[in-house]
Amino acid sequence: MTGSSFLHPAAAFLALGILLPFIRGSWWRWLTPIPAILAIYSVFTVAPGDYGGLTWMGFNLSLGRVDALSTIFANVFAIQALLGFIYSLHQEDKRQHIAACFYVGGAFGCVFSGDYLSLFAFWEMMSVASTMLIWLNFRENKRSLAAGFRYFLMHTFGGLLLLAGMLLRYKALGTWAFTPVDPSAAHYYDWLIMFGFGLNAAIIGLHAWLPDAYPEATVTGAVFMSAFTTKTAVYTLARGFAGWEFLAIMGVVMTLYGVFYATMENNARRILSYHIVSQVGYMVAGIGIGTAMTLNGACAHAYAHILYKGLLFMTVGGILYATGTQKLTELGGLASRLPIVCLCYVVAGLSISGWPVFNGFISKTITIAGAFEDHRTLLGIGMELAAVGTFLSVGIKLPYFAFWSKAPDTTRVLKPIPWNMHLAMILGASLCTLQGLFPQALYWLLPYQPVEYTPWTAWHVLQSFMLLSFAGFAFYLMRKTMKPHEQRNIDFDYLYRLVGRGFLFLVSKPVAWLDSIWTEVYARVGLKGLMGGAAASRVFDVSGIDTVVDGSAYTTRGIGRGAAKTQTGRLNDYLAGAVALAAAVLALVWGLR
Amino acid sequence: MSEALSRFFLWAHENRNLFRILFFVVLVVLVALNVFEKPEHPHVHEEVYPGFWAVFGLGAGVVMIYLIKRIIANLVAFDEDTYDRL
Amino acid sequence: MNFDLLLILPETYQLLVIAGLFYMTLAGRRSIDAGRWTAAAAGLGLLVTIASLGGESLMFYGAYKIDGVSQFFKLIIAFGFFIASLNAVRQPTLAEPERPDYFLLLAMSAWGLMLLSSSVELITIYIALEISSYSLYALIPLRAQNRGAAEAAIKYILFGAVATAVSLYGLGFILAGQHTSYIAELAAKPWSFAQAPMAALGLILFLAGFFYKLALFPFHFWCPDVYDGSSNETAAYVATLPKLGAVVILVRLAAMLKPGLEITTALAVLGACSMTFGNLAALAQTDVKRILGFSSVAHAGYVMVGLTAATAKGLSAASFYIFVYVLMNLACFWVLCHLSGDGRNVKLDDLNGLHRRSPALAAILAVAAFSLVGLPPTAGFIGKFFLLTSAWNQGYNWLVIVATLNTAISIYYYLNLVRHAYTEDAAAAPIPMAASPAALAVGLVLAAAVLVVGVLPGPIFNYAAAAGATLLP
Repeated sequence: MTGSSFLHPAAAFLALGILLPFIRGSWWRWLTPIPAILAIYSVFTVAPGDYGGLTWMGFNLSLGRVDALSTIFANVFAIQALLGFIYSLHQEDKRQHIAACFYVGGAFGCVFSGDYLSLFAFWEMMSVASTMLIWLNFRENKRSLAAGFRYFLMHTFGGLLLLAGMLLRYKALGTWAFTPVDPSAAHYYDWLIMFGFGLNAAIIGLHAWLPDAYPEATVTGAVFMSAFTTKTAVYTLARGFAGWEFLAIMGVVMTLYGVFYATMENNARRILSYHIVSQVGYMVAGIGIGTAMTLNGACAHAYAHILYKGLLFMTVGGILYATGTQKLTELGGLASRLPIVCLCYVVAGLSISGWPVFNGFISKTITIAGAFEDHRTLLGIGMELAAVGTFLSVGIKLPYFAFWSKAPDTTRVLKPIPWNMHLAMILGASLCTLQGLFPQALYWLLPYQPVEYTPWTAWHVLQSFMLLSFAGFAFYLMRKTMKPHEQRNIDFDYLYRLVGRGFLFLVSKPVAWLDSIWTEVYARVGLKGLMGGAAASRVFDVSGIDTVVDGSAYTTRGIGRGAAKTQTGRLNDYLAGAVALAAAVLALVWGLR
Repeated sequence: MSEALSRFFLWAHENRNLFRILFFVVLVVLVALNVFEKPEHPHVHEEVYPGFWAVFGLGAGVVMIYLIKRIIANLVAFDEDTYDRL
Repeated sequence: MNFDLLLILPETYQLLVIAGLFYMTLAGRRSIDAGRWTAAAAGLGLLVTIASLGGESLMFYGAYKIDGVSQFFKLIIAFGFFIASLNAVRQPTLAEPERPDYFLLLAMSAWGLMLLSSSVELITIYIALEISSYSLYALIPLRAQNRGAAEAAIKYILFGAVATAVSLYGLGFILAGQHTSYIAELAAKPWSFAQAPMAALGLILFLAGFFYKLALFPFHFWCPDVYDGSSNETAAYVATLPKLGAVVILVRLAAMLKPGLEITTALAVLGACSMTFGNLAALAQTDVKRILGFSSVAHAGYVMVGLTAATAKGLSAASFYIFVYVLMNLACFWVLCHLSGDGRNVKLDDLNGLHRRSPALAAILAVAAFSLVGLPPTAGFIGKFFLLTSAWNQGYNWLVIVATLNTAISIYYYLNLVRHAYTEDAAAAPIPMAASPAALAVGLVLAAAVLVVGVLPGPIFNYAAAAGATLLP
């Protein structure tokens, strides 16, 4: 223990979340930025060290591991939390603030956890609270219910991977400590943990929850969610899985995959969601390559990304708030009607694309340069390619079709945007710009010092301008082709549904077959009366299954319905069933020996 | 500030041809500068040719847009409410 | 004969409570409310039980044992009886003249369970089981003029009759095969099918009676129907306390078994079926009591995970888990009983908008539901955590994996409760509530207990661990 004291940022958020339900009136809204301000104070003043170690049930837990890596994430979390709570200051629905408090508190908890047990507890807290942020949008958007369920099922699956991995790891190593895993000595439980983290980081194959659910969340909730879930996962990967080759390749795949889907997308917040996948890819790739430079790049990019992605979700949230739609096909010509939103969007769009002056330029390039310097030319080229795609879709396509493309829109009725939303956007845009101009303000926080990278050289500026300007020229040439269309682009979630259906089919077919035999036996033996005409026709109605299945969340429920049908309410069915099933189990156990 | 910005956007819309010409001028200037300004440690050896990243950006952009919007988009596109019905 | 009244103080006290209630049923005096009286007496009983913790003795010719296990379970029974009777004080579907009878039966059933937790001889076990069951048979139909309740009672009785008959049949086999009915002596005997076929078969048949109490697949069919048909308050009791009696016997008997025995494998298979079936069936329910009914089937399966491990750790994890189960279910039923002002069954839609109508009830429900799922930092998480870690590498890893997967399935319907309470708007004519500030306070204490046990399980778990260690030193 080197420092003297440490105000855990999660404490203030959780305290507010617990307190809010008991406060009457409407003045409580002014309380919401306070935990974030305390958190900012805390992360800027705390000295590295181990705080909050405790023994619990004979296990050593650590709630306060403060070092360079956790500090940089906590630092940006605190700043983004303040922006997020300012952005949602007008929100009258107390539940959303409570959910946001628990969500942000959970993120801080994860970042400072030094052991898997407390990490898991905060991890699950985030998953529950973020589900609430999606559900609480159900009044505006009926789709949010099903999307929230799918989201939660995926995160539960990820949580189980993590839980299984950490339990097995504990059994093998006898420790809960959350420490780096050497990629050359990785065990299967390390892979389980890595995939558990990876699901939250939206690695391809396990990413579909993100573009599925974020567009359905509340306007303010999405601002929080864009910042914390994936970046907490990036932190955990950076902490435990630096240098894993799998992550290096997966990261580049993510950068490209996200960009490709974003290019096709029509829903503005879904475009941004796919770009989370893409941008997180840069971080994952940096972690996977695992040199000091790329790890620095991953952290720097996470920092910058949280700021500009939060700003993107704020501005597009502003469009949704004002117009009631987030489809590009229904937008256009809004620049003069929403001038501040438009300006802030442009700042965010240029930041994510990596234009000089803005913060994407000083963060993204570290990872790319690091990849080239580690002689991973293919990975580097892949990331450059994704940068082109990023500029095409978020940098130009989205603002072009939302703000320009059509003649200035003078007739549309807009809901006025509250001052606090504007304030948060302007603050966010200022931070993105300042950070781009003064990279040292970010670099001194990076875990590997000294940072041997200078973004502001004539060549770097010229190279970025050339790459992006000519990408813009490509857009100019192909602008007719880029026109968005109303469509839903199926992704891996379609596969999950197919698997769910297949599972249901596999479960129900044999059962239906067994059931028909069962009926036959009863009919032959003449026990028709006892079985009450045997519920064969009702139990597991295979032909009806297609109508039962609606969405992967409901697939499970569909099986449940089948299982529940055995509950006929007839006592003789029950007794016969109990005896038969017990006999079957015993016969099985004895027979298998 | 909001008003002034709003007026600027309207003005910019009316004078969009001016911006278009400016954009083309910038493109030419960038490639011209590349003749003099070269990377100290090229990441890929083709970087020594002036305009490499310009060609990369343009080519990648055009190919990407064509492939995705013309080919892939047709393969994965479903109705907007597909998932609500599924 | 070794006899010390101080050691059996909890049972004796409970018998006095029964005597008092018996007097009330005969006297017909209505100046004292039987419900309040019972609740107060049960509160005192809880203190008495706490005072008598830590005794150690073998009495009644070796048939009755006071040890860590029995006192741990008696403590939970006393606690559960206190909460359940407090919960039943306000019971809209219970006719006034039947009130003393109702509480008499309730007390009698709890008494039977207390006897059960100390019985270490098969015939004593059987009789104690019957005492606790018979009272329940009469308790379930006491719900106004409800036909469903009568039907539920008939189902419970007939199913119970079959199960106990099977159980008695198995007892005969064990006696014939092993020539003794004392657990201490039975523990030294072989239990594999090859060495003692008759006894092994007998034991599994004998266990059937307890599977029925525990609502373990495939002896669970009565469970959702009985919860559904009986009054909310009765269901709160039936769903929680009788399981304690079943688990204590299973814990004692499992101490005789070793992993790899046919019986242990059968327990594991039944446990796996139980959790899978219970969770799948719960997904499709709309009545909250039926959801909890199927959820209890699933939880019975989880308990098996600890029992199959058959180590001191596993047995104490199972004991601790059933305590957690009782705690979180009492909290959940507390919400249902006080949400349903006129005693009707609560549907999922009746929970809509609960966060506005009663933030406290909604919060209790949320805590209880998250605990049933097994999310940290609730008691449910820590209970499952001990279960799964104790069973890993004890020969039934597949069962641990099945249990983990089942947790994932179960999240869907537990979370659905929370979703209805927090995100949906209330219907135009919502269910009338009857939640007094005092009732809310008790509920909040229960919810707080769920959280406190989750964060600081130490004291209780250490007690359970010590109890487990006495069985398998």
